[in-house]
Amino acid sequence: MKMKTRKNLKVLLFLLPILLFAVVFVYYPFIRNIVNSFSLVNAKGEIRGFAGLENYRYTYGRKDFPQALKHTLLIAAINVPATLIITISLALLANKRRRLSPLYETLFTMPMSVSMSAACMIFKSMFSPSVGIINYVFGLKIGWFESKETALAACLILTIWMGIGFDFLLMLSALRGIPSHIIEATRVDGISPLRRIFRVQIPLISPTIFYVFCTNFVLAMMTSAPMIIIMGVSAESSATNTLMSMMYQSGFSSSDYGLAAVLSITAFVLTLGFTILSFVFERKRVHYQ
Amino acid sequence: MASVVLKNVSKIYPPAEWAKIRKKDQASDLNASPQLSEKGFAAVTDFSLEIRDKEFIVLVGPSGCGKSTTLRMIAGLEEISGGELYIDDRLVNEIEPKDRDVAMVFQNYALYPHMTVYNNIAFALKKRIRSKAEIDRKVREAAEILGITEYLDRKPKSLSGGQRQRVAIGRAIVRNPKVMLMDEPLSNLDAKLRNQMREELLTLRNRIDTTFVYVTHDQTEAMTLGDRIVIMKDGFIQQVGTPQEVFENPANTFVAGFIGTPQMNFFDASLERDGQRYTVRMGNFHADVGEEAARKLAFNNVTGGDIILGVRPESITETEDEVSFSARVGVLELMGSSVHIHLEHNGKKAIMVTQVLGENGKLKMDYKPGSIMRFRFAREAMYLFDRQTGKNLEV
Ligand SMILES: Nc1ncnc2c1ncn2[C@@H]1O[C@H](COP(=O)(O)OP(=O)(O)OP(=O)(O)O)[C@@H](O)[C@H]1O
Ligand SMILES: [Mg+2]
Repeated sequence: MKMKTRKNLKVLLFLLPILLFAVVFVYYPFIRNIVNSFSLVNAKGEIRGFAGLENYRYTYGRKDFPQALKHTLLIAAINVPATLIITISLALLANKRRRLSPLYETLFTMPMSVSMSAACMIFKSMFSPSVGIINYVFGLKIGWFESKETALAACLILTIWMGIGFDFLLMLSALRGIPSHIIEATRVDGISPLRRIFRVQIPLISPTIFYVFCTNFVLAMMTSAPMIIIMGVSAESSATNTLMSMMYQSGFSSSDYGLAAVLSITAFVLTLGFTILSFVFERKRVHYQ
Repeated sequence: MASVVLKNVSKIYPPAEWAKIRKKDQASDLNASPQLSEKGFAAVTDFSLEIRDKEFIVLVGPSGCGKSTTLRMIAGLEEISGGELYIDDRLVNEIEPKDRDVAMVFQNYALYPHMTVYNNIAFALKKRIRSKAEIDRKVREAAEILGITEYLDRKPKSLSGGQRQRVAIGRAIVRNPKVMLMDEPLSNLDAKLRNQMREELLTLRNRIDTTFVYVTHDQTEAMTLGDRIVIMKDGFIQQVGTPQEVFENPANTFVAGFIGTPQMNFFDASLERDGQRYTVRMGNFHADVGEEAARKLAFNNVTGGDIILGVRPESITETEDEVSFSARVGVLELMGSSVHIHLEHNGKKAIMVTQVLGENGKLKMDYKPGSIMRFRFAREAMYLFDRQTGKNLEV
């Protein structure tokens, strides 16, 4: 018994650094956030009393809230499937090792090495109505980030592009991890390429697909960088507001901590709920070796 | 149901591809390999063979001799570097695997791990056959033949090696292919299961009437399954023949040593020609080769000289005679009704097999390890090989 306690103590000791870290930077802020959402918080961040559901009523009653929620869900609904389709397609294209493989593997992976703010600047100039290459190539005259109709689409394209590199790598290594004799068996058995992709390759990389799906969903729900960096507080920013960019503005710019807390908790609950749902789906459709 | 004809088929793996597989440090000693040139690594060279309709051909040889490569070229999984391949009189060098109408059983089964046994077997059928009932009938029939009906709803993961192999075979036979290709299908099974599956393959072979090309490195499998055996080494065919032919008339020392267990003994001996008569000499032992052998030797213009004398372990007998050679008895291995006796003659090791089960059901063994005894061989049991080339002098 004594041995066991000592052993447990030792385990605890080793875990202490990461536990401390988690408590300070994860659990404390998380709980503080929940507390904040039910409290009256002043601009310095101090709790001034119990507010009940007042913060929630205020937040959900704001005019810009339904917009932000809509944008967030829309981004998630487009980003996740688009990322999956793009990365799986690219990985299938790059799957076979060719002479130039290293070259385009690097090209596809490049977005990974660009920082978010740099990417925002690059896209801002690419989408620029006057000097932008996008308009030039497609012969358009759109002020992408400058017009309410296209700003969200431009932000979406940017977020998808940012995520592709890493997810492509994951998909590619998963595809290449499929034993070659299984693919050879489909060749000898005369399985058509489409059937091979949908009935053999995709099911066999389903754990990776599921991983990419979940991480992308969470990231998409948290999308805010392009909105903050590119759109800022311009007149068009309401066209791209997401829960997170709205939280950023309320928390950091307006120091409305109650509002910020409610927004982040809303995003959290939505994300958690959907992730739990997808784990139910995982049971049925994801195949682990 | 088809003939397969290979005409001077060869496979050269280009140097770049080859270098990737080999580590750098291995490259130096492999530079000495005769299979290696600037063009690459010649895994199969000048492979010519006519496989008849419904024949069971076994490719056998040591590891790395090019068996799998040959099989994969027939399947279309490996490009043919030279020569021609015909299936049913159609040149198929450039034909995709799916259009060759062949089925293949892989060594590691290559089952689709996410599908049930049923779907594994039915998968390839779904494109060819529209009717679900028809597919169902075929799958169940194959499962019945292979005794896997009760596992149809399971995933491969939950099956034993033998059951998985059956599924792999089932997947191949439902397609009713023109040619059935099998690459060491039994090598992942334990010895007992392997014997059992070998027997089942024999029965299966009678039920499904098709052409088989079977790869193995196990000579017992080759001998028991094959109508004809192709023995390969370093990418070259050494001999093609029925099991009996290659056992009785091995083309060279390699085939002689490869077919038969324990393997044939080889001694340094000399051959003397006197007109139409030939005599083998080895120490005090000498023997006339007999009339028939002499005729063949004379036909081949053999003049005599240093030879390799091959004798199967079963053909060595103990003797009191002066005309004999002496050897030291080493380890005895009792195998049951017979015993393997390790001998040493002139620093060369040999092995002799003799029956020790008496009529009374008792074993009688009067061989003492360490003692020196005399031995001889029957003249019919002697194989004569050229000392330089290793070729059988009688064929
Ligand atoms: N893709 C490849 N590239 C280069 N060399 C290869 C390749 N595949 C096989 N080889 C070489 O070709 C030779 C023949 O290989 P193969 O697989 O046909 O041998 P095998 O007779 O089937 O041997 P085993 O009994 O070990 O399966 C080997 O020396 C191997 O190293
Ligand atoms: Mg092989």
